This record gives sequence, C-alpha cells and structure tokens, in this order.
Amino acid sequence: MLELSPFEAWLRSFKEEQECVLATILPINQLQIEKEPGRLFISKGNLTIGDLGDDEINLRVKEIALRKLYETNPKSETRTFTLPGGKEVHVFIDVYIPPSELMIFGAGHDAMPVAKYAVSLGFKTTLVDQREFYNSEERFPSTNRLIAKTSEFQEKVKIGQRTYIVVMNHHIERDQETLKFVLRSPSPYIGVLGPRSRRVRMLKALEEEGIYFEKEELERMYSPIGLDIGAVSPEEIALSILAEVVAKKNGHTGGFLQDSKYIHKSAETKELV
Amino acid sequence: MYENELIIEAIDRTRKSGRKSALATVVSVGGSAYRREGAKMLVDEEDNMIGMISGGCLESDVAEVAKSVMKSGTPILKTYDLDEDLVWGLGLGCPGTVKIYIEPVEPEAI
Repeated sequence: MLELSPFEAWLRSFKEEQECVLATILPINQLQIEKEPGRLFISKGNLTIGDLGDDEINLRVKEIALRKLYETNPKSETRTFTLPGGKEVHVFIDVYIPPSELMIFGAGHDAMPVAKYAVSLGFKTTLVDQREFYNSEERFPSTNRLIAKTSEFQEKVKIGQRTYIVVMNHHIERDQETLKFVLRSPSPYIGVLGPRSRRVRMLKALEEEGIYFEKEELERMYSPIGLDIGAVSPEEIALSILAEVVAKKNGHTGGFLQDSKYIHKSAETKELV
Repeated sequence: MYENELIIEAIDRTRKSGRKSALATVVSVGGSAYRREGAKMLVDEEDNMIGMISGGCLESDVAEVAKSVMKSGTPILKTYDLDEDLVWGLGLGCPGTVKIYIEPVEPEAI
C-alpha cells in the first residue's frame, strides 16, 4: 500500500472535506535548515501520520489538535513548546474545517441575493422549496436545490452542525412547518424573516398543536433576522442576514468595530511542555 | 475557508502538471494584519500566483522568496515587520509582524 506523507494526507482531507490538522515544525534558525521538517497530520477520527521529532511534543500537539477539531470556530496558530533542556520548538498548527452550509427555506425573489452572497462567501448553499418553477438553477446559480414539501423534509433534508438556516417562505403555515423540523435539528443558527410579532404568533400556534421547544432550541432562533443596518432593499436585507450568519459562524457579536478593542479574537500562543 | 479550497485545487493541478511550486502560509501574526494565521498563497515556477497572504504588500516579495525555495527545495520562515517602513519604504501605516512559512511543493511522483 502506498504510504501518504502528512502533506498528502492533508491535501486528501481537503478533497474529501474531512476535518484535520497539519502540524509543522517551523525553521527558526536558518542555519539549521532541514529539507524535511517534522510534520504531523491528525484527522478528526484520530488517524495520525508523521512525526514532530519528539514524543512529548507529538502527544501535546495531538491533544491540542483534537481539542480544536471539536471547537465550533477553531483558529490556526503557532504554539511554542519548551523542551526540558530549554530549547524552544515552534509548531504551526493548521486547522482545516470544511466549508459551512447555508440552507434557505423559500425560493422567492428576495432569496436570490441571499443565495448569491452566500455562494460568494464560500457557503455550500442549498435552497429548499417545493415550487420547481421558482427553485431553479437559473434563479440560483451554483447552489443545490431541493424540491421538497414540508412533509418530505424528514426524508430529504439533511442538517448538520455547520448548517446555518434561513427561513423565508413568506408563508406563515409553511414557515411554521419548517420550524417544527429545523428547531429540532443540530443547526447552530436558525434565522427567520419577519417581525417579532410573527415569531410569537408562530410559536403560539405550534404550542396549540402541542409542540413545545426547549430553551436551548429557541436560543438558536434569530427573528427578526439580521444585523441592524437599516436594510430596506432585498440586497441590503441579504447583506444584513449574511453579516449575522458570518458573525455567528466566527463567534462574534456584530456591531461597529469603531469602539471595540480588537478586530480579531486572538488565541493564546505560549505553551510549556 | 473557501479560498483555501481554491489553493488546494491549484496545488493539485500544479503537481499533476509536473511544475514545481512553493506554498506560503501565514503562521503567526502580531498586531493588526489583513490576513490571519492559515492564509495561503501558491506560486509556481511560471510565476502563477493564487491566494493572498496580506493586503497586497507582501505578495511580490514572497513570490521572490518562493523562487529560491523552489530552487533549493528547503522551506524557510520569513518574518515581516511592518513597522519598519524604512525597510519597505511603503509607509503602510498598519503596524504588525507577520511570519510566513514558505515550503517547496514537488510535482507528483509518476
């Protein structure tokens, strides 16, 4: 069997969209250059390939890698390890997380800019609507389209932990039926178009049907949807929605940077072995 | 994330074509730099460049370093201190230190 190098295993993980980490020893002193620097590939399934040249560092990096692979928004970073003799080793830990998905329920006219911006931001974008005439490749280029009635969701629609959801059917019963399905899913974000009064009305109607949601399930429901940018046109509304989705994905709260202390959330970098 | 997928595609294409290339990765950022850790750029021996590792100011220098990496076959770590506009003469006004790891990517063995 052909043995893959850590680098090749990393390339393969990208192609297969599998979470993984590639750790590389950085050449600090250019006088001690090596053609093949220490490298370790770690998959989420705990497959490891390669060696960082020290058992203790291999172990520590593996621990850090696995911890990152289970975080919602892990960051790549360089960690510094100090060996017992005082020698410092710098290891770049590069985390690969497959692209997130945006799933839009409702293929109306105003969903078009939402899908377009989502595609350009790198989301795998899916439209769910039973109306074939609306839910078409022509209207939604570069997206997946699912022609499905609400009664078919269970069987046809797959929602994962990185599937962000936007509900915009412009049809209160269909939105309600959609909520029954999506609020029980592992999705981290469920945005619903419409005012707060509509949200209250839908949840009340569902309660009357005997359907109650847990606090944790409702905490992921964002309605009214979007960041407060005074959006009016479909394009502005799409921008407001996607800005909220990206903020949620990156673990930020939105708002003006003007008054915030940092642009990026930074990670700790110093670690002793 | 999306852009890194484009880089991977480019690595794949370049390796299959038999061309040498070098992969530059931002491995450490201090202060406010445009790109963060993990951002990548691929440069091949015909000077094709894909991806961004800064707001546009480091790409051409990194591409030069990439050439020597392709020649020597040895990776290097390059530190850019963007405070030193004396060195760069660019007056970027965006203080920060960026470390970039540049490694050779060999064509696929046939």
